[in-house]
Amino acid sequence: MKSEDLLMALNELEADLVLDAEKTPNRVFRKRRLTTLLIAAVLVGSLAITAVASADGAVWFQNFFSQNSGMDLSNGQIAYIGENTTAVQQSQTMNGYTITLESALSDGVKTLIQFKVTAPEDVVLGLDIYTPGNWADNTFIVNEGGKTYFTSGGWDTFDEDKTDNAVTILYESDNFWYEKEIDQLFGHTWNIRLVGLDGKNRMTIENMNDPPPKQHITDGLWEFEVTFPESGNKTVEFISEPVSCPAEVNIGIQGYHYEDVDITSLRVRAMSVALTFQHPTEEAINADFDDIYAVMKDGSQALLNPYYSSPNFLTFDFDAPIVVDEIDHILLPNGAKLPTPAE
Amino acid sequence: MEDSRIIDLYFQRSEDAICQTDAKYGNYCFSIARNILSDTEDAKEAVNDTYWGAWNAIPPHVPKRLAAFLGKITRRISLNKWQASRAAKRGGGEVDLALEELSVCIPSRLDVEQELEGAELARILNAFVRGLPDTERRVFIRRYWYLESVETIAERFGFSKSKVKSMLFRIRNKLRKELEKEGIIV
Repeated sequence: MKSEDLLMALNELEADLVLDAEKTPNRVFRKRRLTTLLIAAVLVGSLAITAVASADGAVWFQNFFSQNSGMDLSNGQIAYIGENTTAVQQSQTMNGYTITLESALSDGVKTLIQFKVTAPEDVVLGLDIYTPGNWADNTFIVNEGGKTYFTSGGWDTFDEDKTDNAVTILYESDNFWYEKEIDQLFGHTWNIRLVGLDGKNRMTIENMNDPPPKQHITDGLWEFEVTFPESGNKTVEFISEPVSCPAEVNIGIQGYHYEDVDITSLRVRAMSVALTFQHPTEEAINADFDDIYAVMKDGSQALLNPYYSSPNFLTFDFDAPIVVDEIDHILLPNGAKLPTPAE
Repeated sequence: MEDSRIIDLYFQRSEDAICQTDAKYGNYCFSIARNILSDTEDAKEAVNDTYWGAWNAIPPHVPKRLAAFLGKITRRISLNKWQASRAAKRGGGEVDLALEELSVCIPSRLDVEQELEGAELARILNAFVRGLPDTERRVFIRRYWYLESVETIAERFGFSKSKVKSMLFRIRNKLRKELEKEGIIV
């Protein structure tokens, strides 16, 4: 068999798969910082709040990350997830739609929130359950003072209980813009609101199963409280002085080409990395780096997946959380090693 | 016009079927053809051939998803044209790159006796693609079905090019393992 046969055989992909790839991506990244703050709104009377017994949300995240990375997690990774997952297990019902916020996990920058939407029994919620772009734009966590932290991200859906009217959603958010204020995240109780900013403080659920047109299902405001454990707040800076590294840059008429840039900061957290760099001309430019790895003390490697880029700034995430204390060094594309700094 | 009405026009043997198809899906088909064929005129010709193919197929065939039906015809015709142009040494573009990328998916131990039948390969590919997470599945299909460039996919999904490349790299490795599992008796 040749690769040409494979390319031709792909013509036989089923129609729904081909058409599905036409859809709007479910990860939306925004370069601009959200300036609108969500102001507390009074929950309507029909909102019923119930707290149920705490369940081990860590197991869900362990399974998710294991699948996401295609590898068995190490004991250290399992311990990290176990120590830092907040099992929320709060349910609220509005308009017959119950949202259960199952669990949340944050390294201070990247936050994952797992919740389940259960519709009335006669409603079919496909895995394409869709919340509009403005939801991703303008959600998510508001503290008691009304300050918004997590404002962009994407989501994946899972059909876990195999029922037609329920779907599990993993919301993924980052707040690199707020990194300087990150200490405020931990140890405080936060209100997580599933809202959109259409001026009505509500979350709209639409079903994308049969586009177009989208089927509008319901809207409302569901609000939960979460406390993130202090132990999740661990960052290691690997750059003490600028380090030269080749990057694919796009400058003027030269188009994309490789040049050395200076990495000026590389901050590693359990689930995310923030990198800043400087071009020799000191122009603000976009750049891509070839593969960068976190090499662990046991010799295993975790690839830094590019996640977001803006001039002189890139972020990455890991397929599964890493234990920051177990990093031996960071391996750059040119073979340079950045050792873990002494405590 | 709704797809069912367009299909009705084909059944009525009305030439308006082609006009309506072109109005609704002309750009869609052209974008597929243009990704595969570097020459605009060749791409236009592939789209016209697509309409001719649809005209001949309907009836008796009744497509459940007209867009996918037309897209498949366009893709097949365009790849055939690409093969012909490659023979004339006029190839290049995304197909060559995609082929190079996909070559790593071919299990090295797959010998002649273990060649997979086309239908079996299609079954494996469908199962594999369907099992991918949403985003990976869409990125994979954009790259290897629609033959979109990495740059275009990165822009479409809001990813950096590196992320698209690394995602495709991992999917190809998964596919190679899947083909090894399905095609090889170790």
